[in-house]
Amino acid sequence: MLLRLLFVFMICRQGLVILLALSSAISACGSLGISRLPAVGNTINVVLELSPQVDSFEQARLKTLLEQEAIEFNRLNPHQRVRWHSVSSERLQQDLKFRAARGLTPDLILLASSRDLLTLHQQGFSTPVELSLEEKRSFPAWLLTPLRYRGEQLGVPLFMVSTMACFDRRRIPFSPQDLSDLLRPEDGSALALSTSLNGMNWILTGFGVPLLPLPGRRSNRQSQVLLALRWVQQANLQPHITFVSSEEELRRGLAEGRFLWIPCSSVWISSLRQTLGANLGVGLLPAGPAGVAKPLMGVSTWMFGSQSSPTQRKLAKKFVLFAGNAVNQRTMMLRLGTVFPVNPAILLPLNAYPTLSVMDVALRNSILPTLEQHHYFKLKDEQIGLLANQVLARSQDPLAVAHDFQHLLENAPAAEAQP
Amino acid sequence: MNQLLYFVLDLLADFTRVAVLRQFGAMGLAFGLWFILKSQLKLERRRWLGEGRWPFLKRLKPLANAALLWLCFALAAAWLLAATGVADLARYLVRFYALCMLSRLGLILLLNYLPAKVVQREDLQLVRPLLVVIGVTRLYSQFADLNELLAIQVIALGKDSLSLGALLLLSLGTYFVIVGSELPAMGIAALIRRVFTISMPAYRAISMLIRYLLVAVGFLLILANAGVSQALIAAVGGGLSVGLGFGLKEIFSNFISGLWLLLEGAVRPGDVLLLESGGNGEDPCEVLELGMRATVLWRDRDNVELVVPNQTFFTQSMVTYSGLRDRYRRGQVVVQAAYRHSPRIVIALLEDTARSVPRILAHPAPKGLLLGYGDSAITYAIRYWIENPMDGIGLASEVGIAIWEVFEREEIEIPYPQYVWHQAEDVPGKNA
Repeated sequence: MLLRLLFVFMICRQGLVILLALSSAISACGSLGISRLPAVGNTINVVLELSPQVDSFEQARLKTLLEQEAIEFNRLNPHQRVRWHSVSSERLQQDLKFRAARGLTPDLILLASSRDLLTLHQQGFSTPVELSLEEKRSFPAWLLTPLRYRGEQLGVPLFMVSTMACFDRRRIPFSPQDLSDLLRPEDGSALALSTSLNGMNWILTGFGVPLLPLPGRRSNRQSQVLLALRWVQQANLQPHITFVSSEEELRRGLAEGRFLWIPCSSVWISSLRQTLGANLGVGLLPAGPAGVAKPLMGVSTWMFGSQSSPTQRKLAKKFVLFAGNAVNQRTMMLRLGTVFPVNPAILLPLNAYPTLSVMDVALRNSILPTLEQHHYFKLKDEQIGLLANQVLARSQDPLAVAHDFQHLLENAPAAEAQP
Repeated sequence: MNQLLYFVLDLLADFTRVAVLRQFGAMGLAFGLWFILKSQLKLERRRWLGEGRWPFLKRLKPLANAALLWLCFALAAAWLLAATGVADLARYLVRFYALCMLSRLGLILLLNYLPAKVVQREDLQLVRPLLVVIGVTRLYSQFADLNELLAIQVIALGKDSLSLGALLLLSLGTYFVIVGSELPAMGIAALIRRVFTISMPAYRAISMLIRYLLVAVGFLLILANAGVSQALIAAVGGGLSVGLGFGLKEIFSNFISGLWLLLEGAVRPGDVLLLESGGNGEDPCEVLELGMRATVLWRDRDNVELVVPNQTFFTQSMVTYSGLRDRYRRGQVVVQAAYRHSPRIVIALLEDTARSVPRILAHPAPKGLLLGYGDSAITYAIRYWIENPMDGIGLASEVGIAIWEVFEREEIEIPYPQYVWHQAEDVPGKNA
């Protein structure tokens, strides 16, 4: 009987009329901001991007934390609901395309980093957000500015991730202080480096190569690039150093004992600590001849969907501000212990948590690319990988590669702000 | 209950988006356009071009308005896609409506090959529920991740658990395997019948056996795909065995009996059985369907369908007119004639009369017999053979009427009971 009723409702013409009328009425209510029924139109869909650079253990912790945050938000706002859904980075664009084609782009997307924000915006999946001065107080200006594009705020940060050095204390008591130390083999040490942009940039900055040029400060640093490439080439000749193409391999290598020292993301610390326990050492990345290493900063960023109703847009912003408030930011930092809060009002317990202290210094040394720079390097990712491989395989003279590299860096869009 | 309410409200929230509203608005406009066109064109009533030449067009007429609606929807969706680039919900409706229409078309075409009753049953039991399931799941997947919903754990048994997807697969999958196996089984059995030229009852039995086989294989595949752990199967099996011991005993017994009867071939759909009918003597009944629990018999006398538990055929002896040898049945009409008529003449008349009645077989020939000498008349019987056992009673009546007419014409008397009274000689008072 129920099946017949459903069938009549779904395919009979009368059913269609009812369905159309009902949906139109609900849509009209929501679009006008009239929601007399509790919670109709007051639900937002939030998508969490699961990056392959974050291991599954940390992903699960992050999901749990955000779900708890949503529950807390629902508790404080009983007629407003947050619905979570997670998508892997590889499927994110496909998922957004599928939803956008139906008018159902998520109201909020929590990107693992701001790297893809501009691309997604240009594909029409996101809409800028307007923050009042009061609302901006939850976020430092140096974090908000790089998330702007053509004067519009495309994203809002949730937390920061730093790149550090992780090592096995049993074999390497202290992390190497500079790049030349890396080349000196300790007894039985096995180091690993990545050939990705994120894995190479801190080496380049150690040699004084300005990866993210500031406006009006473009200069020819080909000699520094050449020095950095020669160092990479020399490092590749060392039997104790291995270059890998994926960052996941670095993490797994350290956990499995194949590598004893790696450059690592702070979000790997929990799972590495699960495997290595107290033997996990955390330190700063080795400095270069020109100064400290400046890795790229990871900023987990909220992106606002382009097809939300006015009510949903308002609610999405409310939730973002809720997640950015000092209490939630502090809770997040203490529960995860591997990410840094963006709210400047939080006092960090650096003395109590040595790892947090190292993360703090690492973050201060980090550089945050603007959306355009991210976009540029994303487009050039393959080319950078190719150049790196040419250096590692010695198939090209480093001088020629340095020239190409310099050319790539010269054409990068200028940064507007630095931390 | 609250969870369900929130679940619905969450879904409804998506209907508040302008892009969604636009799509449903366009569909609404398309519906309005269709309504006007429908009342103007009157497609189902008017005579179609080529209708006389191609009679099948007449059968498609009930689909005309639906096709027009689909066309309006499709045009609206195409326009919306070109104008805004956001029309996949509208296109989903168009695709789903096309699927519904195609299913109706398929059913109309099936009427050429299958009895209307079977097609109607397939429509109600298989096609419509299947469309509802497809429609609901596909609609849900337009708004949210169906896999995520199906992955929700709904039943936990110790360390094992059953997801919503597995539960739906077990329930709906089993239902659709049972219902959907009928047509394929009939198709395979029809093929076997054509190749091996088997009888109709054998065809029906084979069809039923194939269906059971398909259901068994389907059920095993469902269990394998649902990821039901061995522990859970053991737990359910344990519960089932207790159930079999008590309430389910009869059901299981009937099921096994039905399976055995099919394998043995003792009772098959199409067979004619003699069934005790209380004080009314015995009635021949045709086996319509040998089901999992009971057998459905059709009784010609009052056109009723009798549902007889399968194990009845196992525990009681049955008379069948359509066993392994043939389906012929011998009928008999008993009649009396006066002593003054020669038995040879009467028997010849009876045999001729029986031969003249339609549907009585010439071979074996009708046989007249003298059964005995009664008080008032000689008792004869005319025995004859008929092809369809279900015609027994009707033909006996026809033969009886024909005998009466022949006896009337040939002045053969069917005597009333006759008594000869004698009075004894020495009864006192005789001469008084």
